[in-house]
Amino acid sequence: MQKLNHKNISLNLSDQSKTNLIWAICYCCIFLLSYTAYAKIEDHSRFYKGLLNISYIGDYALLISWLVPLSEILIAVLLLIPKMQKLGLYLFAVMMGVFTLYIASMLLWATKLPCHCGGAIEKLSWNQHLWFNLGFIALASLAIWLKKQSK
Amino acid sequence: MNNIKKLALGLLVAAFAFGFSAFKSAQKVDEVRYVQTDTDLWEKVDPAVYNSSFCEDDSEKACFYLQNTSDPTDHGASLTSAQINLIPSMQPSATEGLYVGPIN
Repeated sequence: MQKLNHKNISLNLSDQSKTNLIWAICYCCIFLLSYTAYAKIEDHSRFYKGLLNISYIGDYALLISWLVPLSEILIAVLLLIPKMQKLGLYLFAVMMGVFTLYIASMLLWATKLPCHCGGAIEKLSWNQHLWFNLGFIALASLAIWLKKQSK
Repeated sequence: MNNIKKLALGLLVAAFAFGFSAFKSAQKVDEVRYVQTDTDLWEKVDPAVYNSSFCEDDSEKACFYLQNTSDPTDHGASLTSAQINLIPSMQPSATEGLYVGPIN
């Protein structure tokens, strides 16, 4: 059986193409972060009241209701700065990972599924939301991998 | 593309996202909805906290009534079954049940 050496996996892309692809992924992430952060701040009371209804989170609802959109803006800014882009991508992946774990746990154990996401994303079902998040985590992981490849 | 152009494009993307989000927010209409909180009692629910999953299937009456947007009248914080049925702009939900979530 042929052994797969992960270190030898590489895309047949020039460094310029890799850089452009990384930026394209970052733009997608920036769009998502800016869009959802604005929606959460613009209608903050709705987001806050939504968090109040969630078990375990309710006690920290006010803190979380500000922490989440401000973190989203901060990560979007990091993604814009070339030297901080890698850190931004890692933080983006971690943040999406936390959201995804939360969604997965709610799908597995919660009897009620309230959704208080920002903007048009709230139209997604919880399952769709899970796949949506996994897609963005995959994109961020690809960008991180390409960044390592282009070094 | 140099870094300044990439940064500018990133800012443009963020501005576009803010604009798109604001556009979606402006489209939102606060629905007036009365949910069945007790037998024959419907209470106005805050749209920010309303969630359809709080309709529990233990009543044969509509879980909520949605007030038609063409009717600007404030019908009060709560209505009985008899009262709500007399208001033509109130549309009963297909979902039956008592609403067990918070209303404000």
